[in-house]
Amino acid sequence: MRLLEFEGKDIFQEFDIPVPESIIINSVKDVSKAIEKCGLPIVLKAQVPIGGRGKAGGIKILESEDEAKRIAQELLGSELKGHKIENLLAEEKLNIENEMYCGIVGDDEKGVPEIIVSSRGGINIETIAEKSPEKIERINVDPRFGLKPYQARNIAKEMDLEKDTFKSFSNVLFKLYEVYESYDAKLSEINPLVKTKSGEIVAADSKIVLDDHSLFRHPEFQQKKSRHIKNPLEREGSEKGVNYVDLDGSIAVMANGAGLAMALMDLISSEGHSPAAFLDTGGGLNEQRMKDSLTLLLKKAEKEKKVKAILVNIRFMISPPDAMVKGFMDALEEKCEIDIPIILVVRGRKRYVERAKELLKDSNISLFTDVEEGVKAATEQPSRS
Amino acid sequence: MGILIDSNSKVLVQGITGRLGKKQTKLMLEYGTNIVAGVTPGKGGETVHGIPVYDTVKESLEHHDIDVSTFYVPAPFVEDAVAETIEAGIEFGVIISDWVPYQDEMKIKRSAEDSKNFRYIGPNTPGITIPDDIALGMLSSPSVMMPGNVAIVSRSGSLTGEIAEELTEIDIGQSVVMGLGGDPVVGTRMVEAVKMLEEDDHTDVIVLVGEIGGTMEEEASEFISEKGTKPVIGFLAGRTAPKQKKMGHAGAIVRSGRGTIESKTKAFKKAGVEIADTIWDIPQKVENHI
Repeated sequence: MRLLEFEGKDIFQEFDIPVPESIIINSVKDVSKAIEKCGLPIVLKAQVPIGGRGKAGGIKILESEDEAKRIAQELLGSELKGHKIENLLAEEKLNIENEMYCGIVGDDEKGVPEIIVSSRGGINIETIAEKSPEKIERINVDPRFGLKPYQARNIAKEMDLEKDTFKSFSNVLFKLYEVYESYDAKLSEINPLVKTKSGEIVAADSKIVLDDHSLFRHPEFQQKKSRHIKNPLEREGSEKGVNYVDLDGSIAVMANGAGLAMALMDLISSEGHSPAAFLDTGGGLNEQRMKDSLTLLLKKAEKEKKVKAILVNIRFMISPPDAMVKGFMDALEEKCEIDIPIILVVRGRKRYVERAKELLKDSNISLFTDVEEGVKAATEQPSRS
Repeated sequence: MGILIDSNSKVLVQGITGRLGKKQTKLMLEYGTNIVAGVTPGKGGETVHGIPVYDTVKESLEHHDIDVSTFYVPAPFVEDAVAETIEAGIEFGVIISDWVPYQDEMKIKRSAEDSKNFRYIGPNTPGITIPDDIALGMLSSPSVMMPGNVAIVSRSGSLTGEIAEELTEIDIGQSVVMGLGGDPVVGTRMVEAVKMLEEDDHTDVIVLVGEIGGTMEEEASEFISEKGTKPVIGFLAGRTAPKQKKMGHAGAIVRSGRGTIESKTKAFKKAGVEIADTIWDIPQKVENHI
């Protein structure tokens, strides 16, 4: 999950990484208070979890209180690239001498965090990385030992920093690694890291992406993990712990495994049809999860008449089908007003396949043991509209 | 037959007293896997399906010879459990546990590489099976697999069994069926599996099951172009997945240019890997080489 800028900066402060004077506001009447704290000109920054906020009009520098109020009014409650702006971060305007970059991200292949720094930061960092790779320095560190202060100094030494910046830069980098480690982040980044005209180093922005797998160590974020998902069905999926992706076609696809569900989508597409939804139930075939999963697809069918069939592919590995069948039946009973054919393909452990056939023989679910036949049955359904 | 393990491998189950550990121990024993001991801290002295349980890996090794450990340990404790196993000197691990934190996965990988004599597959793998000989993990349904000379190496857990079953249905047996694990940082990457299979006398045809995201297929393709001698059939899941949408695995995120279906298709083609357009095309393509 991606944190908002102000959440990241709160964490930076906790680790003594300097950030601009700031206050978070959610109404126009807070603007005067913000100016009292941060002075004029003041910067108002929309708190939404996306990059390129400046270009999209979500960051404004204002010279007067009236102007600040007018812009705050305009921004609050409006949408930026589909995300509703609920809060603005009001900040002092920095006198920028130059902008630098530092970030930490995992290298999947080697299994190590990679430290990436540059004496040129800002919105063009990706172009710099591409066109002048010599301006970017990278080192790997051992995740078991973390970044040592000397390693931070070594990498800072490789950059063309001014003498007075060297120490403060390596210090910030060292602390940024502490943030990365303490919060089990997948990414922590400061871009730009600003050197002001008075020679201070300040984190002008923050980007922290937490690892969903480690939220059990950070319960304060556990409840918030689905908050930025815009599509209501996708959000519900995330909250219930199933992986649902909303799509635009006519056959809703579900399987107990992401690869299997993707392969099923590919099959449908190769037959000239298109998937309406992708749902990976995850492992285990537990009753509640199976109920939640089918319910999501029934809701999708309820919302969109053009969805003409629900195609489910379950592979039995280690769990018997009883809980799954119970979950499916509960979902169908609760959503009995929705009339849509459900095609279920069951494969895998033979005695569980036989058991599933037995349990479902009097139900409205059409059962297949061959994927090709199941896909054919789904694609041949007439449209509902 | 096969790689990494054989019917004589002596197996430890870590997390044997948990719900999943118990259930899977039973199914693995039914398959014929030689499980000699289990470990769950605090449960030493108990037995699970007749298998003695110990508090520590070290203690289990005082009583048994052990070649491989399978992990059903809950995610928060996996890193610790693997470190314990490496230090105790076991040489191969199969990490079934899923939802392991990303930074823990990196630490596990470093510890394994430092130790020089520990290899593992996973985390988040369905396991590895040599049909009719030994099953470590969830691929333990006897009807799904049969012995033969086709190796299946897959990034997707659910597709591993599906493809094995399709081959078995037309009487094509497998030398080994293995899942690499669906997470971004895994112990054995596709290229390493391919290298082992090149050396394996029991494998004549290799099936690689890839998916969008990551760069494993691209790496494997480089090796195959240079040194590959055996026919390779490749399948890529997710060709119709919309870009920027996360399809389940943390690994399956398409990022600008890297890990796209186009780059993987191109790499496979260049390496002479025959691409199956759908999972149904795999058995036919394999059959041509038998």
